[in-house]
Amino acid sequence: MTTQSKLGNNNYLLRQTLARALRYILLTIGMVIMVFPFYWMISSAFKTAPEMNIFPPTMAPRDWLNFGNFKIAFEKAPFARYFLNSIIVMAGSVTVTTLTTILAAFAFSRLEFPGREIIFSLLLSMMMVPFEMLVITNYQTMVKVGLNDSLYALILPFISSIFYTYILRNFFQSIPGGLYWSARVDGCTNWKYLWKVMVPIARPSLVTIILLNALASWNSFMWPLLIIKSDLNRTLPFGLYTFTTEVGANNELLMAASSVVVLPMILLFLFARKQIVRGVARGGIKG
Amino acid sequence: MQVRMENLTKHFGTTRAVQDFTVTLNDGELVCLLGPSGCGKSTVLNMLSGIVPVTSGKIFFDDEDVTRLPPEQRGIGLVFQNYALYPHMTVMGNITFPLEIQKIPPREREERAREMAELVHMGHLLGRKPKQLSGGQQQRVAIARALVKNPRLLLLDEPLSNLDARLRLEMREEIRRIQQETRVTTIFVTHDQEEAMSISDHIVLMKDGYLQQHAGPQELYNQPANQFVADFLGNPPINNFEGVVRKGRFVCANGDGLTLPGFDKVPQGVPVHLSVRAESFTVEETPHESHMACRVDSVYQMGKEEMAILSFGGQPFRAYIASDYGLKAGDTVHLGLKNRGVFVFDLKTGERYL
Repeated sequence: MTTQSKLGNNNYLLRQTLARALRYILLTIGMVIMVFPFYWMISSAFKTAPEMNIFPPTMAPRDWLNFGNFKIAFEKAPFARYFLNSIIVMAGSVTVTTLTTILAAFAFSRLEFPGREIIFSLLLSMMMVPFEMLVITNYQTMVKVGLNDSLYALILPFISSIFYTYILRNFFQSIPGGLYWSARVDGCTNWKYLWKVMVPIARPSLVTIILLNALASWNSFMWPLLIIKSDLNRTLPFGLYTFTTEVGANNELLMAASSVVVLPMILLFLFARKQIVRGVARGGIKG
Repeated sequence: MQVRMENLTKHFGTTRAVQDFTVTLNDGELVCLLGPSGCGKSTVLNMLSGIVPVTSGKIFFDDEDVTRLPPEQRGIGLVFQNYALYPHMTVMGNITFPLEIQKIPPREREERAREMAELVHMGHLLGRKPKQLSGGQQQRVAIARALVKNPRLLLLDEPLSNLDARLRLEMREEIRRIQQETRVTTIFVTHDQEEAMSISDHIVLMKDGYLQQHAGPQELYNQPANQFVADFLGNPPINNFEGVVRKGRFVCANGDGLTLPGFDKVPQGVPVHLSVRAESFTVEETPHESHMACRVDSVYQMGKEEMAILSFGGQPFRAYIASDYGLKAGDTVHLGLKNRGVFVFDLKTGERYL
C-alpha cells in the first residue's frame, strides 16, 4: 500500500514538474518572438554601416556606445521637431478627450434626462463605423475650416471617444447610488460630486484610459499622412515614414530613428504597467 | 423637530408604493418604519429625504412645508444600508466632507469632526480608509458623517442589515445611545420586528403602501389594530383559530368552542379569527365553558418552559406551558385564556372586533 501510494505520489509530482516546465518553455518561446524584433531594432541602431551588411548577421553590435547613427539621423531629419509635434498632439488630444470622456460618462451614468439610453445606444452603434470611413469627411471638414496641414487638424478629430466614455460610464455605474445621494443631501452639487468623489474613485480607470489614448495618439499614422503636407508639422511615425525613403538603404539610421520613436511608449508602459493592469481588472470586476 | 406627513402618496408608473400615508412623528423620538419588504417604508424615507419626489400629499418639518424642497435644503442626515462612505477618503475626510461643502473653515471642520468621531467611538481611527474598517465601524463613521452638520432629522435606511448577528445587537444599542445623547429626531427603516421593538419610541407599521398602525412597541404588541399587525409582531407568530361567534360563544367548524366575556360584543355569525399569543394560555384542571379542550401533539423542552404543539377544533397551534405539568403527546388538556394577547379579527377584512 505504501509503495503504491508513493509511486502515485511520484507520478503526480513528475507530471506537475513536466507541466510547469512545458509552461515555461512555451512562455519563453512567446517572449523571444515578442522581444526579438525590438532587440534587433535597438542592436542594429548601434551598428556601423559595414557591420549591417555582414553575412551571417551578428547578434550584437561591436560597440554598444556607438551613438553615431542617432546623430546622423537627427541631422538628416528634424526628429526633435517631430518629437515635439507628437508630444503637443498627444497632450492636446489626451487632455481634451479625458475631459469630455469624464463629463459624458457622468451624464450617461448619473444624470437623468429623456432619451438617455437611446442616445447612448446610438453613440455605441457609431463605434461600428471604422475610422477609415470617416477619413474623407474629416478631411473635407478640416480643409473647409482651413485647419488642414496644422497640428490642430491632428487634435480636433480626436477630442472625444465613445469607447472610453463607455468604459468610464460602466465604472461610474458601479459606484453605489448611496454615495451620490449622501453627497447631495450634504449639499454637494453634481459638478462637485463628479470631481471630488467620482473622479478620485475612478482614478485607476482614468489612468488606463489616458494611457490607451496616449498610445493611440502617439502611434497614429494614417491621419497625419493625409492631412499634413509641410515638413515641419509631421509627427514621429509620419516623419519616420518619410525618413525611410530619404535614407534609402541605410538601415542602421532607420533603426536608430525607430528606437527613438518607440522608446517613450515602452518606458511609459514599463512604469505604468501596474496601473494599467489594475485599471483593467477594476473596470472588469465590479469594484 | 416634528415630522408630519399628510396624505403622502407615491406611484411608480402603475405601481402604488405608498398610499394616502398620514402620520405625525414627535420631536426628539426614535421612530421605526417597520414592514415586510416592498411595503413602501424605504419609499417613505426617500420622500422625506427628497431623493424621491412625491406624487401627491405634503411633508412638514415642524410648520415648514418641505414637500418640494431639494434634499440639500431639508437639513437631514442620511445613512444607507451599505454606509456609502467615500472609499478614497479617510474617516476624517468622510466626516468633514459635508462641512467642507458648506464652506466651514478647516479648523472648525476638524474640531466638529473629532467631536462626532468621539461620540460614535471612532476617535482613534480617524486616519483609516473605509476599507480598513469593519462593518460596524463603517456604520459608526456613516452615522458621524450624517450627524456632523447638526441635521434636524436623521434618516437610517436598514442600517443594520449588512451586519452579522452579534454586531447588529451591538450597533442597535449604539444607535439608541447616540440618538439619546443627541436627541435628534430619528427615523429608522427595518423589516426586523425585534429590532424595531427593542429600540424605538414609536413604530409605524406599514403594509402594501398603507399605514397599518402607529404606536409604541408595547402597545403595538398588546393592542394590534388589525390582523396584519397581530400576525407581523411576535415570535412565535400568533395563533389564529378560524370559527364563528354565535350567542357569545366562539365555535370552530367541528363544533369545539369556548365562551369568553367579551364575545357577546363581537358581530355574531360572521367568520372570524380568534387570535391568541403563544404565551397567553393557562393550564386548567377542569373542563369549563371558557376553557379549550385540546389534544397535545408534541412537546419541546425549552428550559423553564415547554413549547407545546396542540390542536383545538382540528387546528394546530403553539403554546408556552410551564414545565410543571409534564405534558405528553396524546394527552388531552384544558387551556384557559389570559386577558392579554387574545383578540378577535374579522376573517376577511382583518378588522379587530375584540
